[in-house]
Amino acid sequence: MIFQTRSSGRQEEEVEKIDCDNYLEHLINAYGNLVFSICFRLAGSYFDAEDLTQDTFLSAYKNLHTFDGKNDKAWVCRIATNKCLDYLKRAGRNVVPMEDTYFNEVQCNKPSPEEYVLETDMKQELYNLCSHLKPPYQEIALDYFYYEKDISEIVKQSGKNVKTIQTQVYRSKIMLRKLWRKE
Amino acid sequence: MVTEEKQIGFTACNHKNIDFKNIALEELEHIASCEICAAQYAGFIEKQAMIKAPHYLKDNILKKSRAFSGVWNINKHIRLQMSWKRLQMFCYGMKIGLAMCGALAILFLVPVGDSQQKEPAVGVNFIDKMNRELREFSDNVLEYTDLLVLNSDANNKEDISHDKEKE
Repeated sequence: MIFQTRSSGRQEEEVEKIDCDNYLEHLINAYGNLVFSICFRLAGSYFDAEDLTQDTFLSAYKNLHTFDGKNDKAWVCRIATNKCLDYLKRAGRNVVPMEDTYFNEVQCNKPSPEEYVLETDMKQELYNLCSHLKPPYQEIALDYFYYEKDISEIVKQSGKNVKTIQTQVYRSKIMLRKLWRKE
Repeated sequence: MVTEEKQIGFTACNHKNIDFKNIALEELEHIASCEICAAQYAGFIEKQAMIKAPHYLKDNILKKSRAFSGVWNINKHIRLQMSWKRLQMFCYGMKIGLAMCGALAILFLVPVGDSQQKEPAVGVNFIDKMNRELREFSDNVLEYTDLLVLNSDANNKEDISHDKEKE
């Protein structure tokens, strides 16, 4: 329904917009982890991979009208690769992270001992970085990035304003990104 | 199933043993443009190890996409308004231009010689007529006033002669 030619009429445009939103959600659910894995593998940084994943899906959303609907996995993968290439060129990096460095940091959600160890290492790395921050950013970063709590939960727990928590999350993310790049 | 087109594409791109584990930038650029290799790379990543994306990522992406579509709709509305204004301006300019061309055409194409002769004749006749009538009117007024004066003189003279006879 998304890939039909556009016709006049506000109602049809709204229906098409809803279809695009639904399709984007489907792409995120189906390929979110894949895209993040590709971005993390190529960028080498957790938070940069997060930004690249966001850019990938937003780019896919903007260009849905050009997609023929045949192979969405390959299409999304190509967009992610392009974004990573732009990132590598911008950063002046001509080297793609090698397999050994990648697997030192990788985290996997598949149930196997090796993958469990990798996931634990990743979590430990994240915990260490969050611990380096000063309060109140340390608590916020641990709650949000390590324990994976929602903003609403943190607000209930701390009793602070939503905007305050959001600002602190944003600042702690910037600090964590710098720390990750240093390491 | 590999179709003929895909086979041709396959050989044309030289998809030969790309080492996905230790990938070079040039190979990455190829993957970014080739659907077949991109699908293979995705399969490799899925088999090897997938990293779980952050829990807040989906909500952030959906929020930004909604913001983007809102901005896009506003921009579309602004663009439509601007194009409508431009169209109005164009029509107005065309009207002015046509009016100017019409005025210039009337000025240069309408024959001037006859009209120059006719218009002064009409004008002159009208002015002469007006002058004549005004002159006649003024002459009539003068005659009337003269008559009045003469009559008053004659009356005065009669009165004087009557007075003399009485004395």
